[in-house]
Parts: sequence; C-alpha cells; structure tokens
Amino acid sequence: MIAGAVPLGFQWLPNVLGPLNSGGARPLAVAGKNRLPALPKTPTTAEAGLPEYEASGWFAMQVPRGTPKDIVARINREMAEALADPTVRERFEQQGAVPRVISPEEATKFTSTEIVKWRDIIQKAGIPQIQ
Amino acid sequence: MNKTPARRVMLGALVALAALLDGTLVRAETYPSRPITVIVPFAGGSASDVVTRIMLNKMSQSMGQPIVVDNHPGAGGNIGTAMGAKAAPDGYTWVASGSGPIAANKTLYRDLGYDPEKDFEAVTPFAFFTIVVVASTQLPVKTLGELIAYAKAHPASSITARSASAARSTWAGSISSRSPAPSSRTCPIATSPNMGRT
Repeated sequence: MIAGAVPLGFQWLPNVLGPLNSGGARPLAVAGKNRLPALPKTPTTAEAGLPEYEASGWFAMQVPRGTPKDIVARINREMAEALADPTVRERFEQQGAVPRVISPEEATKFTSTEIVKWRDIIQKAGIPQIQ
Repeated sequence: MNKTPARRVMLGALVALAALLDGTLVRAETYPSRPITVIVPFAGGSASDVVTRIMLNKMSQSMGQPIVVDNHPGAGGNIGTAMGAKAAPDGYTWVASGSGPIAANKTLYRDLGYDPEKDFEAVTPFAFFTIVVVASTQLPVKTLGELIAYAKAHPASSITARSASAARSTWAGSISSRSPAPSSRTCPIATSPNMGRT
C-alpha cells in the first residue's frame, strides 16, 4: 500500500495500522454506525454519504464439541473478566475493536444467526462458492 | 451396636464425596491444571491475532496457567478452525476463530472440513470490528466522495487492488458491488476485508 501497489483497502484496522501510521495511507471512512475511538477524525460511511455500506466482523472463542459445560462457563467468565479490565479495553480500542462478551447460550444462537446473515449477503451478492 | 448406622452414614458420605470428586467439582476446582493452547487460524500480527493475545495475556494471569497461541493460517481461517474441531474436548484447546470460518465460510466454501455449529461449543464472541476504507496517499483522494468521483472518472484498471486469496478477492468484489460506491459493476475496486486476513 505504501509502495502504491495497493491503492485502496477495505480492512480491519490492525491490518492497515502500519501504512496509516507511516503516512503511506489515509483512512477515508469507517463502514459502521459509529466512528472508531482510534480514528476519531474519520467519518462513518453514512457521514461520508454512503449509508448503505456497512461491513463488520467478529472474533469468537470456540471449544471442541463435548467440552464439559462447566469448563465452557469458566472460560466464558474468565473472558468477561479480562474484557472488563480497563487496560485491556483501551488496548482493544487502539486496535479498532469493540470488546463484548455474551453467555454461551447466547453465543450458540449468535453463531446460527450469523451463518444465516452471511449466507444471505453472499447469495444476494452472487459470490461463487470456493471449491 | 450404634456403630452400624454411623458407619453407614460415613460410607454414604464417602460414596457421595467420591462421586463429587469424580465429577465436575474436582474438575472445576483444578481446571486449568496445565497450559492451555489457543489455535488462532490467522497469521501472527493480524487483527485477530493481536486482540486475541491482548485478551489471553490477561486471562493467563487470572487463570494461573500459561495460555499458548498457536497460529495456523490458511484457507480463510478454515485450516486452523478445522484443527480445533478435531482437538480433545478437555478444555485445554480453544480456537479463537471469527466471522469468516465460523459464519461466512460455511456458504463461501463447498467443504470446510468441519461444521461451525455441530463441531464446536460456542464460548462467546469477544471482539467486534468495523471495516476501514483506506487509500494509499499516492491515490489523489482524501475523502470517500473524492474516491467515488475519482473512480467514476478513471478506467476500471486504474484502481484495482491486489488481494491475497481467492476468498478475499471474490469477497471484495462483492462488497464493492453491493455498495453504491464507485460502482464496481463497471469499476472493480478491489481488495478485501475480512475473510482471508482476519
């Protein structure tokens, strides 16, 4: 990107922090409802005149099926505690990430909902399947 | 004479204790008793890797065991996620995966090598990201509006970007063509968010 070989990117913030910090690239817009604390001057796509373009993603912890429920609950609790820590939250923000934890039951529903959501997006966009 | 009922009570208590010790009580109290491995199905230094390590570092302190990150990138995150699906379900292997391998790739790929729902217990999502549209400073645009104007005024080839994998480029095209932006139907602004290099 700095070299000009890649003139444009649609990326998660950490993947483009290098070129942004070195001045090789500039952020044009954040494709979400809110501005990012890490890029307070960068408008959202809606503010920049493109309300229909929103794109977001998430990372989630999974364990192999059959892992005892009490251990799943324990990991969930530990994650919630870690993400409640102000230092951890601040470091997430610097990376453009919003920390959030839900219960394992909610997480199971969340996965199913997201699979359907992305299936609809991909099918509507007519993206061919990768063999 | 009165020893028998006492013995019975004691025996009963021992049986109950043994059952407890054998089951969840002991596990909950001793877990984790050895280091935990977390498979990150993306490259070291990528968005996923960075935030996962920030969180795990804190968790390792409170859980009192090392938590070791094992990066296994490839196939849009599917390779590492598949490894996690086959790991022993004992609480000592976790997978920090994401919206690609756990959701979108189920439709994008013919065969993932795992079922995101059936092969895992979901613990919780932990980091939500928004796509950032960035432009090289060599591109003469400072705002999204200028980018759209520039894209309309220039032939498609002039702002096509590179991407690293089939998943990413396919996906990127779609994102642009869904946006009213620089109308990628005629002008493919490429590259790519999430699926590959998460």
